[in-house]
Amino acid sequence: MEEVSVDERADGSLRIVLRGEIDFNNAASVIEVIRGVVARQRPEHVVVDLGEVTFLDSSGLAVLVNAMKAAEAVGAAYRVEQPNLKVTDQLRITGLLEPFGLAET
Amino acid sequence: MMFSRPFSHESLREVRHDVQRRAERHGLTGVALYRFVVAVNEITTNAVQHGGGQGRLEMWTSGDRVHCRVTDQGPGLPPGYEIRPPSSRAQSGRGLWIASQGCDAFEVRRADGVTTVTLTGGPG
Repeated sequence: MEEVSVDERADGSLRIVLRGEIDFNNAASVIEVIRGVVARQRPEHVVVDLGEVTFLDSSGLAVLVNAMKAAEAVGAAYRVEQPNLKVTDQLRITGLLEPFGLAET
Repeated sequence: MMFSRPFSHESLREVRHDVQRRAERHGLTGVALYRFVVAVNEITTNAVQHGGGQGRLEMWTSGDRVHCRVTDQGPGLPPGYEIRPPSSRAQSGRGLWIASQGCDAFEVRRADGVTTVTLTGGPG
């Protein structure tokens, strides 16, 4: 699936790269991929890279929350990286900056 | 000039791109444009999920504002429903919150079996 790719690092971290538009159409299949790989690999860190994401709806936000819960279930640290300014604004409105390790200092 | 079109699950993205293009042409940019497109998309998606699977979008402008009206034949919001900030751990329930926060004006009405949501955006 082109919206999501997964890169397992030698240091025990799992990097999940999301791309393009994550919405009601594809959110369920994206979260299925993420849940599967996190449960299988049991990484120490899970990082979701949003650098190439251009649009997120509330289903896309739920993907990120579900990824956080999947990480917690295997005891992994979780963070979200590189949201663009618009997505950062959206995460602020929904109170998700801090849980995603993006709190402004 | 009024733009009007029906939508269903298959056309949610197409409608969103229509709204984005038209709002952009009317002068919305950056975060203000994104917030408005996100807001309208939440309402069309709600109509598909809970409002009978389809609906109609109308879009028009006044001054520097853009307006969208989304109608569906679903049951509408439960009586007494309050739009409030979601818990950061919630699986769902963020849609109406980001929709209501993303526009200058946001109104939900229910009459004669039709739910109507009107959203207004501006250049920020």
